[in-house]
Amino acid sequence: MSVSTKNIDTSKWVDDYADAMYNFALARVDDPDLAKDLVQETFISGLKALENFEEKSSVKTWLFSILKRKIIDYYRQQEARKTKPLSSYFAEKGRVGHWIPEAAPKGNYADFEEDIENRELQEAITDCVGQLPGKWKGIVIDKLIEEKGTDEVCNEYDITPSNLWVIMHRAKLQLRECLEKKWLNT
Amino acid sequence: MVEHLEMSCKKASYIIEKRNVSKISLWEKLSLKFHLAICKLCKKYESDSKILARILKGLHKHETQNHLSDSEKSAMKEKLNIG
Repeated sequence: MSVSTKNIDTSKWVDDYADAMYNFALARVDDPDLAKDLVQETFISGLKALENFEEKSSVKTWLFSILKRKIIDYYRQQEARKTKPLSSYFAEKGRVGHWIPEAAPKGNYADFEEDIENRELQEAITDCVGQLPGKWKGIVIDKLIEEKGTDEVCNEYDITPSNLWVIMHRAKLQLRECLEKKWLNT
Repeated sequence: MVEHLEMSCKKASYIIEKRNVSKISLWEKLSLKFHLAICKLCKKYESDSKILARILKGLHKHETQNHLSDSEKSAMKEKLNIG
C-alpha cells in the first residue's frame, strides 16, 4: 500500500475496518459478494483520495462515508427496477382511492406476532425487506429496524421529510403485500 | 363540514405511515379519525402497521454478525497493493 504523508497506516485498514464495513454493507444490499465488492472499492477509493482526507473525522468515519456513498450509488442504479405503482393497491376507477379488493389488508397479523421467534418467519421478513427497491430498503432498515431519527435518515439519503413519508408509505404497502403472500398465505 | 373530512384509503394509509415517523397536523388527525371510524380496512391496516413496525424493530436483535474470512481479507489486501 502507498505510504501516506499523513501518518495513516493504510496497511491495517483491512484488518481494522473490513468486518464492520462488510456487516454494514451486507445489511443494506443483502448480497455477500456485492457487499464484499463495495468494501473493496471503498478501500481503493480511500487510498486514491487519501491526499484529500482532511482528518476532520476519524479514518473509520471517513471510510464509512465513502462506503455509504457507494451503497447509495448502487441503490440509484436499482431504483426503478422493483417499484410497484400505487394503482396496484388503490382503485383509479369506481371508488377512487379505495382499496382494490385483492390488495386490501387481510392476513392475521396478531398470529404473526406470536410467531416472531420462528426462524423461518424471520427469514421471510428479511427476504421481503430484501425485495424492496434499493434505496427504500436502506431507508426501511435505518428508520424502522435501527430506529434512526427522521432528520438523520433524510440527511443520509438526501431526501426531504415528505419524500420520506411517501417512501415509507409505499415501502410498507409493498412489504405487507410480500408478507401476506409469503407467510399469511392470503 | 363532513364532506371536507372525507378521505380516500390511499390518503389514510399515507397519513398512518406519516404519523409513524413524524408529527401530523390537527387537520390530518381529525380527518384520519373520521375515516378510521367508517373504514374497517384502513382500521385493520392501522393495527397491522403497528404490529409490522414492532416486528421490524425486533428483527435487529436477531441480526447475526458476519465476518470476512482471512483468505478474503488477504485477497483484498493484495488488490490494494496493486491498485
